[in-house]
Amino acid sequence: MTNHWIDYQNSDVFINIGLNTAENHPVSMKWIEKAQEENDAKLVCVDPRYTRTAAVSDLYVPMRPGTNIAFLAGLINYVLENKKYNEDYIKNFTNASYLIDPEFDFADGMFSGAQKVNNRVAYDKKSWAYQQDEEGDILKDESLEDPNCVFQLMKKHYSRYDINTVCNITGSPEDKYEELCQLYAETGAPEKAGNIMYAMGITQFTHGSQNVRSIAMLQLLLGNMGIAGGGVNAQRGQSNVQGACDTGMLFHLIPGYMGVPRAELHPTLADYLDVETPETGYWENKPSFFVSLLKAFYGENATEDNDFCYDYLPKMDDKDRSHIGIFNEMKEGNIEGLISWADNPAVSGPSAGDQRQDLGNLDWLVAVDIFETETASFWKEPGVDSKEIKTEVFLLPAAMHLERAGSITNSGRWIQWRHQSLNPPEDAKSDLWIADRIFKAVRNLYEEEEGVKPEPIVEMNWDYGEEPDPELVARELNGYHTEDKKLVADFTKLASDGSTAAGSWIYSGYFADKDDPATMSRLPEAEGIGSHHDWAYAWPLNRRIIYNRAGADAKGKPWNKNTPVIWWENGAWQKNDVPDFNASLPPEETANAPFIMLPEFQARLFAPGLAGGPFPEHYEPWESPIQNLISGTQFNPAIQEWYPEQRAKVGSKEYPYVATSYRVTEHYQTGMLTRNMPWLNEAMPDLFVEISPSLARKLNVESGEQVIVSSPRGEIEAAACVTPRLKPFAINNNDIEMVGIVWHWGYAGMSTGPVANDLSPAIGDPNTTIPEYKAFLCNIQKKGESK
Amino acid sequence: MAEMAILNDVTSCMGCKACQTACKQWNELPAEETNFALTGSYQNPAELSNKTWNLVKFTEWETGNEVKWSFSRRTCLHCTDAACIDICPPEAITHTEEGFVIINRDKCVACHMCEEACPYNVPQVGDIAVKCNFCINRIRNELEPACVKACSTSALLYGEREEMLKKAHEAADKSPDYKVYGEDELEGLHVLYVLPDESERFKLSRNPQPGSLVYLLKALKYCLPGSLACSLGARIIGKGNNKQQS
Repeated sequence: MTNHWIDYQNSDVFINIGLNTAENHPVSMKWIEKAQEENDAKLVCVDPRYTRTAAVSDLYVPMRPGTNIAFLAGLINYVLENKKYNEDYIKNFTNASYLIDPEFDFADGMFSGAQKVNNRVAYDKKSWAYQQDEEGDILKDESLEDPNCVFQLMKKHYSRYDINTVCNITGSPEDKYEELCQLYAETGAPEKAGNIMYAMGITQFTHGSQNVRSIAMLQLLLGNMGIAGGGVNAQRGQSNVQGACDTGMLFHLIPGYMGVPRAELHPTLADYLDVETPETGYWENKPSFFVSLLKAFYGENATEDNDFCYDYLPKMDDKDRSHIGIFNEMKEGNIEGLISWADNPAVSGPSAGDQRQDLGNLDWLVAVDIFETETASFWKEPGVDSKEIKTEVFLLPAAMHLERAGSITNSGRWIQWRHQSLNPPEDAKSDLWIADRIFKAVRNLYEEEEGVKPEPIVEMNWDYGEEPDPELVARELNGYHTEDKKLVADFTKLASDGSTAAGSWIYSGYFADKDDPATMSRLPEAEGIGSHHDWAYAWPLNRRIIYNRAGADAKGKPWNKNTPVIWWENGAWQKNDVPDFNASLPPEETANAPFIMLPEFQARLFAPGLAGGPFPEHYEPWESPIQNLISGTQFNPAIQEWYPEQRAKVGSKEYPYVATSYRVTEHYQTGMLTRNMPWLNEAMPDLFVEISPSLARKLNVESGEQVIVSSPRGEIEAAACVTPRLKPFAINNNDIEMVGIVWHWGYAGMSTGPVANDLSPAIGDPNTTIPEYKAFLCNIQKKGESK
Repeated sequence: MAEMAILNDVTSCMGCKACQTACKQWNELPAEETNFALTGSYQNPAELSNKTWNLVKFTEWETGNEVKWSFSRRTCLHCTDAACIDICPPEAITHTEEGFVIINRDKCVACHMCEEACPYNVPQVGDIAVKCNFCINRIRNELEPACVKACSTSALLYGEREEMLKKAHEAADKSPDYKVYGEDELEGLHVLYVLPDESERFKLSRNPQPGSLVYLLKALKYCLPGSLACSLGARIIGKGNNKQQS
């Protein structure tokens, strides 16, 4: 999130899109309700189904799964056409005035520079560049009238998304959609705050990254970034997903959101720093963060002479190392062993049935979890002959969160320490203990038997005690001066000469005082806008609302005087938060530079960074019941198709229904925690699928009756829930029916059921490879009746 | 002392069932076997039982093109004019000074008469009659009821009844569709509701009536000694007197 949970109290309008906040983040409703009560705020629920969130919303707008870009593009177009944007904001704080290469073009769903590489489009982005003068300065038209300026290009691109066209694609009723447009566009008024909240219903698509971009663009147009109650707010689906990402648990990133070193691009430290460090913007400090990370990894062994042990870091090769990519390699027999740590891909992976088979190609599998997961027990899935499986499986029992100390980072970036409250049962151990023992055992082996390349392990800086102490890990994450091991105050103290070490630069400061670390502090604020700076620590620098220079106008006047974040008064900056800019400078010197992480210091309405294009464009999901109505390009041309034979054709008669998948309040993720809790199994006993009364009539099915849902990847049996909360979508004069699938179940644990992800496709976004769980095709029939 | 009440504002409930689970946790009630195929609904278990004293009811309806979905608690409403108190031969059921209706486990003989008398079919009789006891053991330790504690919105509030009534009317004033329930029913309930539609939709009658046998049973209570009234009453209702049999 750019903002945080408690800041929701400052919003005037919420859009819940690709999210079911009441269902999956119930406590969020505390703050949303407060805003409704105190600010007369409106909650809009956009969802293919009428959900528990819809039940407490002020406006519900249905939308066909997989059409978020068209839906958001229509909003962007409405704001542009009706001049509802905050003009001062976009002129000062975004690249709206920048001139783009006149060669830039867009036609029939494709941007200029499209080239076919290995059956997908990889763009040559030359024509997407800013125009520059001879000095290298970017050319701009502050009047926003030049046809090549970002603002005009944007207007042209989005003019195609009028309400009628959009609703024809999304199936939203035009009156409801227009009501939303009017309501949300009003947050373009300077004193109003619009908040867009999202989750996996935005990201889990072949165009997921561009969905997020669309949200960011809309928020920028309306001046909703950097203000209290605004923001692009990703609600994380697991309590510490944020912390996991912050510390490098992503295949393409290392701790602190730096790119993973790649063999081809970055053979040496100099190459890495040269390629990855921009000339301007705050990332120009990347060498300090990266070298400090190497010092944390390799301690005294990392010196300037040996490039701080850069050679010891594993480098990414040219293969796809995402979740789908790893299982592709497993299928080919190229992976010997897998540690599946608090992960349950046998239930959560796309085309999970195929992925369970892939697990059988491993020599060994280590599963670390609280209970025996489906992944740990894949060899005893009903119908599987365990004699045929050669994989040796180890199950390491883990302590749950209350049984160990450590920090959890919430969606609002608050790093909150939790003390251990009880001992784990029997042999269960904390994750840290398990990691520590595995590491030490491997290091012993290398020391005793050498091996092919022992140095990266034996020279690693690894000393958290005989019984590993999480506070020592925290100190390393925070960072310290290498000479005297004194903790660094914050990341501005990190250096690129080896004099500092830090495990994740963005965490610097959270544990700066080892006797009274900020992450353990729990003091609520007496008055203010809800920042609560003495309650835990929010990265970066304990800043609660990022990009907060944009919360005041060029002259430093707050857009909203009732909830000012940082503002200029009496010749000085006044603060309700930690400034996200150089606050030693007066307003006029910071007016054009609120987005300090970008080299141009101004936010990108036009962004050449993503694989799919500088403006989000609607494509149908990989599997869709209809031809794309807005261009001849059916699905995101930049995606890698691994299993084209597993794709149901456009308008397939065999698989005529749109499927989407989701969670319920009563269960959590793959259900490992909750399907072993009798009270929760009682509250939601079985996997079920939701269908509309009209589809139920067609299938001759009543609520509670068993149905078979199938896709080209597999089939499941489930109880039907027939409900008017689902309605067919009117798309291009056709009614398109949807099957909504709850996915928490599997064959392990107290409450068992089919694995819904046996149906979902192994296809992903070109930037992140996140699978398209939220929109694919299926068939459904009553159990016992033939197709 | 002032009368106390829970306010269940159904218009702000999101149906998360935290109150349902918290009730089980505090009162150490076991889970029961449920089955989605039986209810075809998110509402599980389907009804109150001696293991489930607080149930979130899921009510779904359509008005014109609009769908509505509401979540209301089904539990003992702690009536002022409590038919269960009147009917109970061993006088196991009493009012507390706060207005709560409490069953004394030691006095209950499981005669089923309260079950028959209750206009809302709340008491559940197994070895003894059980139902929501307003978390009296929490209240007497200056804690709010477990269900209220677990609620993350203002769908459940606990406080002085007068104050809760005031809040109920404030909430109900937001829409002409909204109704307050429990203000005058049975001389006033200690669980108040703000409902998004007519109360009948939520099986909350504006004219709640005790079971049809209640007058006959009442006559037994006043004409016969307690134990005889119990066993005869249980027989009239058509149910065994579990405690005496065991």
